[in-house]
Amino acid sequence: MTLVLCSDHGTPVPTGDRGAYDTVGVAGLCSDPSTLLRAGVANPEALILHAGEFDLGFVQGAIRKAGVDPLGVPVIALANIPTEPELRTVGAGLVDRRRAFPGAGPENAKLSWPELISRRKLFALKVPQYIAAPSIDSSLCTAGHGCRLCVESCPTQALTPADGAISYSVEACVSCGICVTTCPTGATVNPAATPGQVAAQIAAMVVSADERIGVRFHCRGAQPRVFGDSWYPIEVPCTGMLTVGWLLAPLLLGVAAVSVDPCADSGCPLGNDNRLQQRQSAAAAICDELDLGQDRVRFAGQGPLPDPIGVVPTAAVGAMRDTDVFLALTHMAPISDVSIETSVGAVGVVSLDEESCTVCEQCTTVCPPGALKVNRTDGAIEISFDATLCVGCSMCVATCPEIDKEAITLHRRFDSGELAVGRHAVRTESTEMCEKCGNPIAPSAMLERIRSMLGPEHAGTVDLIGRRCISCR
Amino acid sequence: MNSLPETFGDLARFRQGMYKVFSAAFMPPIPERLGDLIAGADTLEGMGLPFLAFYNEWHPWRQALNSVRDVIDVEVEYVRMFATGVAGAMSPPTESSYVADPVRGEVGEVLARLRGAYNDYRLEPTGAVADTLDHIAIELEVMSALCAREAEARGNENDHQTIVTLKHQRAFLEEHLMVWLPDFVERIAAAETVPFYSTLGPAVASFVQHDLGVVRFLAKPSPTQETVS
Repeated sequence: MTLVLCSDHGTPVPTGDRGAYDTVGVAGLCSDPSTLLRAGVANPEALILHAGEFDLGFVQGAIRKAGVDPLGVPVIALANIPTEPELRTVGAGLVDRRRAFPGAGPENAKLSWPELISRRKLFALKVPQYIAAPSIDSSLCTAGHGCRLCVESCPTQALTPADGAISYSVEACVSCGICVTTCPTGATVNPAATPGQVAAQIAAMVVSADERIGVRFHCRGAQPRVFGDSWYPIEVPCTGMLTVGWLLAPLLLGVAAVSVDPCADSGCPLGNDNRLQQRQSAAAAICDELDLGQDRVRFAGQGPLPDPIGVVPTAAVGAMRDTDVFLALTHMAPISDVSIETSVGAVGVVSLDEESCTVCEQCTTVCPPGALKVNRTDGAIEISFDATLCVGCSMCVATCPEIDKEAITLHRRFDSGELAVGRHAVRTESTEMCEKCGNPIAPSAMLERIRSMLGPEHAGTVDLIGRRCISCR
Repeated sequence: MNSLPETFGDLARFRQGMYKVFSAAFMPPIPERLGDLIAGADTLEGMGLPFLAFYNEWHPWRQALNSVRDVIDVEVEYVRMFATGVAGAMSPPTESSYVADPVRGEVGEVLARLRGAYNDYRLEPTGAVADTLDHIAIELEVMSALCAREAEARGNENDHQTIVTLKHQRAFLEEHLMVWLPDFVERIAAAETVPFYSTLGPAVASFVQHDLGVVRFLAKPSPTQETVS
């Protein structure tokens, strides 16, 4: 397992025992990637090259021929020549990101030729490049229950609902990753940019660095990578995919501050600038409320770094869901008991009204992450809610038949108290039992609602449905 | 390192060769054929195959191909996997086995549709594969022929014919080969078999999936003003 770097242009090649991985400098790697093979590197874990001097298609071909899936091998281009300590830090991060690669299938390799290319013989073909495209695990997808969050979030209409599932067009997909961080069940995965890989990369850099560090998220297409002043780049497919949780998670891993770079001077080609700035503002506001400092999460900023707030194990960051990261932060912050309204956080607190909710269970049926659940016992029915699972998608509200009576309300807020409670009952109702067979008929509140709808002119029907189940009528 | 084909015509020839090799791999593995497969694989690798993503799945099959010592073992396994057995073949290599209900007479419908498609493409099976028209070797060979036709059209700078044959390729992949190939490959994976066939399934599936992406790209309407970045 080897970190390979182009040794041209005076890039220092760290020597001596690196411990977890070897480092090899290969002269001329940028201009001729096949030197990777001639150098006898059998298992390249990551490549560091120089900006503007290499053809990614050739580099990927060389990696592939070395027996490794190039989708899992980070290749970064440097804008400036790093110092040896910087190189050691960034190298450790890349190697650990590679080691956390979950593997990819043929469906994850999206062919990328230049968009405008002559199909006649006037020009030579360029070597194709591949980017990692997401795939959907149908066993986890809740499209069958009506979830359309990925469809609604996709900026290129690559996802469409089809017969209770999601149809995915790899041709239309630009692999921005927004659907991945939007998916409430983890069904959609981009194997080259999983939370586990990014967390592993950050954790390794923190351990390797001799000093406090900051990380800068940037888009895959934003070249080149600038190092300096203890700030290190972290590549994601598109910064538009970054949620509040992703922006805050590095702080849990020992990073002093986080910055997110705008895509380009002309703005995000997918139009994600506003979304990104809103989430960055939300993340910064959370840090402020928790008394962690206002400049922990910055937009296009570097500057001096504060002290890190602490370190949790990489596994504790999990999938970098907003709720998990926020809750973990409250455990490390000077102020832990806060409730922060948000319009962009994937959080929610659901309450059911005792008077108007009929316990029809519709909300539990459609809830994609299973935050709302139903539990039946003898003579009673209970709806429970777990705020740590809620993503604030509002599907429960949209599907409620008593919405005009405000039977269900969703408040989108980061609420430390609600998150700490975990799953708890939000509505309990007795169940009417069949006088003939003893089986449950329906919740009392639902029967009461039916009685009020039918009125006294249907007294016979009302009496019957209140005494017998549907099988015994 | 060898480079990719330089023009789209060369690319069509390369794809023709890929389909040809995979088609032959699903025919009975007589010694001469295995020799041809090795020669064909060598040629394709020299045409820049490692630059394409399906090389990840191709490479294990290539190693398995080189490692065949006793053809008899592969022949026996071919019969068990694809030809016959107490409960039928382990992995029936025909489209109708996956998309048609024989009780409802749908097998005939599938074969009729294929016959119609081959007529549209002006292709006639030679009988070299003594099986039905929906055999995997025949369907792969059809794609090989369509790629050859595309290469010829490009060589003649016949834009109309190029577009027509690309549409045929796309339609055949979307309406036939890709409809059942994943299930067929799954059946191969589920059966314990020799490396030659256990690696062949992922290799052909990966290539055909990749090729569908290529064909969709090539079949897109050309922009009015083309530039090369």
